[in-house]
Amino acid sequence: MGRGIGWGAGLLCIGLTIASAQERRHAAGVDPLMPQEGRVLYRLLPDARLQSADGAVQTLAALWRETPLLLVFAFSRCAGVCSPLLLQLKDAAERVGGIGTEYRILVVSFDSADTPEQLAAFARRSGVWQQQGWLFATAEPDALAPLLQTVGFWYSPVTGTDQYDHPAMVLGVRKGRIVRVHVGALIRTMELRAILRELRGDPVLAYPLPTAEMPFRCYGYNPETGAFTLEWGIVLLLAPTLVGAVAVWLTFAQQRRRAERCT
Amino acid sequence: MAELALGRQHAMAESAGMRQFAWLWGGLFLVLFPLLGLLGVFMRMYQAGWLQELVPDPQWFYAAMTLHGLGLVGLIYAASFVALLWAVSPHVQLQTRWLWISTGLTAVGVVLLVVNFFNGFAPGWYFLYPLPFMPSGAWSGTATDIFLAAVAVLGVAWVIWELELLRAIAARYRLGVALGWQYLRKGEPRPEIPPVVLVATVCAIAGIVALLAAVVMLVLMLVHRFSGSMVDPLVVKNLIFFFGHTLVNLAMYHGIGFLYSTLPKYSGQPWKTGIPLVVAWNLVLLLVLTAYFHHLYMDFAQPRWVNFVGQFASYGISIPAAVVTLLGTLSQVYRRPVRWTLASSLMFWGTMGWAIGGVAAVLDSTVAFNFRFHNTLWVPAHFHTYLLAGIVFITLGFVAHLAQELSGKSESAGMRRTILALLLIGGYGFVLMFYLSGANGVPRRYAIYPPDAELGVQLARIATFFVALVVLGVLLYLVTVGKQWGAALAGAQGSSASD
Repeated sequence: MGRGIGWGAGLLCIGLTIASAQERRHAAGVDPLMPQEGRVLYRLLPDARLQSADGAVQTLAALWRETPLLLVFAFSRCAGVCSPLLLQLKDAAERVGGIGTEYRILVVSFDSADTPEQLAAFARRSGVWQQQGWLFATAEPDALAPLLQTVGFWYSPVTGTDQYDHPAMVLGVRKGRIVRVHVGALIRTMELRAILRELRGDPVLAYPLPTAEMPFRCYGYNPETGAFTLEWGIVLLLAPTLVGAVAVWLTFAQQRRRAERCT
Repeated sequence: MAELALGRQHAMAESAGMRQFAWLWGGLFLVLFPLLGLLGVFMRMYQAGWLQELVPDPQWFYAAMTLHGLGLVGLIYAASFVALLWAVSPHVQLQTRWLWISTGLTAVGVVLLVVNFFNGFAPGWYFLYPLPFMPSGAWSGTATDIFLAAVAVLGVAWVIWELELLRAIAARYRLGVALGWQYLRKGEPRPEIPPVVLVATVCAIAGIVALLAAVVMLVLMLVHRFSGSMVDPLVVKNLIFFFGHTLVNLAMYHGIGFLYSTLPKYSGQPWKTGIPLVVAWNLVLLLVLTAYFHHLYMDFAQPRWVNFVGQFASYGISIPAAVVTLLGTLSQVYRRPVRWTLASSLMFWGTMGWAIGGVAAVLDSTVAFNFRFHNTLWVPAHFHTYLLAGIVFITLGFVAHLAQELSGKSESAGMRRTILALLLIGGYGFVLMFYLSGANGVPRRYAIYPPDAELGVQLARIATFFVALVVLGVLLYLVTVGKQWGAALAGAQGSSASD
């Protein structure tokens, strides 16, 4: 009987673990090919000489010393995820504001065949050519490989085409270090806002703030007067002590009655 | 006459049951403490930057942090409670069947928590609401459900044994007597009570209230789980610390109760109840339920007076009880022919660790300090001091005491000194790195330190060296006490066979 319960409990645990792990994998969209933030977080970017689409030459370090950066890797002939990612980013950046003053978006080509002219055309197609805060650049091949390795970016040619298979990712870079990695072509306004908070070093809210309609509030606060009021939730904080006191009293009273009956 | 004989038989059977119960829990502690402790070693090595290539997903750090914290707090609470039960059992008649039911339910709860580690459940041991419900894909909804089930099962298990302890005390003493109020009146106190009964009464009452707070917290979380709408996170945070902080405090007090009862067996000096002890422990009962407010200083939505209550309650629960216990312990050993064994040495050093960690805790409960230290490694520093170098030492002392008592064997003086040296140097070196990190503003709960906290990586590396000493000390302890444990088991089997 006991052994049967033990086996049953063991099997239940294994089942729960497997079911939950599958659910988690499904929820997180885990893919071994996707870059992982934990692997590269806080790494210092190696420096690289960059040639902008408008022909100017500068270093990556010079750029991140001026402002925080959102770093994107793409290539000019990309028929896949690059354009949707840049369009999403453009749309979100317009909504959030601050581009060009608080931060800049640097699009670096990982394709050594790309030229500044091709990148300029790519920027025009993306609707951000010479827009404030947007930079498109190629990197020297010797510097590109260590840069891609540091940030955990990979690419591989697709046989029979001029295309590359690669992930879509946006890196938040503050003082030359990776502080955030966003993976995927979809970047919502809320997500960009969180990355920019990270770039500024501000705290990032993990959940919505309580509202006045929220049930079981213990305190009310009037921001205009600074006054606190006690609300119904406070009863929940007092309940354990009150119920506990009654339970203790009843236990002692019951035992005392029992002792009196015995004597 | 026949009733008396039956009563005696029943008492003997319960005493044998208590021995079996304590033996099982001692064994569980010997197995689970090293395993859960290794998760802590993993965390410090991860922070030292040595495991990030091997385990690239920092999610495992947070899952380890959750199981390490929840598992060890639960284990230390439960094992120290068993030590208290063992110490109080000569004075009150416990019904071990309730203790076995609690143990079975605790085992189910622990298994569920371990399952959740593999599910990546990682909101930290304090599982701050609404984090368990907002994992951003890091763990599943099923994992949150399993966690809620584990909390429910553990809550029921521990309410049962707290109630059984209270019932057993109530069967022999009136409430005022158990709390020692007769000592506050003029004249001879009648009846006298052993200090362990006073501590056990305070612990049982506070424990029941704390576990009721867990019930309310669980109900609120279930409201979220089934309605999908958020409840006030501030209420839930209050309840989490009402329950969690009180439970951690109680774990320490369980150990102190055991100390009051057991250290005199080694020193030969009785530890008697007196007015200072009664005042201190009644103050603890009065204030332990409000000290948790010091966890909420940073929650600006709490009214200011609540913070003041938290600060003064923190002083009120720690200083009087610590002073009477420290003075009592020192008077037990100062110029006395103490029989120093592994058990008595660990009990003594555990009490000192409680005092040292308590000083750091009192500092941290002071608003002006907390403002600087709250989210730094100072917090793990103080709780690791009074947990690892405090109650864990006392619990290891309890298990060693039990092993010696049940087996009749003792360890060599050389082995005792080696184990103590390793645990003390390793333990204090380990927590010192936390203190230095905290004082330098290194944040807590970071798997990978940001560049601004580079010092945290260096200190984590040094801490790992000290942790290695602790691991070695624990291994030697396991070998030494494990042999006694085995001899006790063989003796028990032999005697049952001859019966």
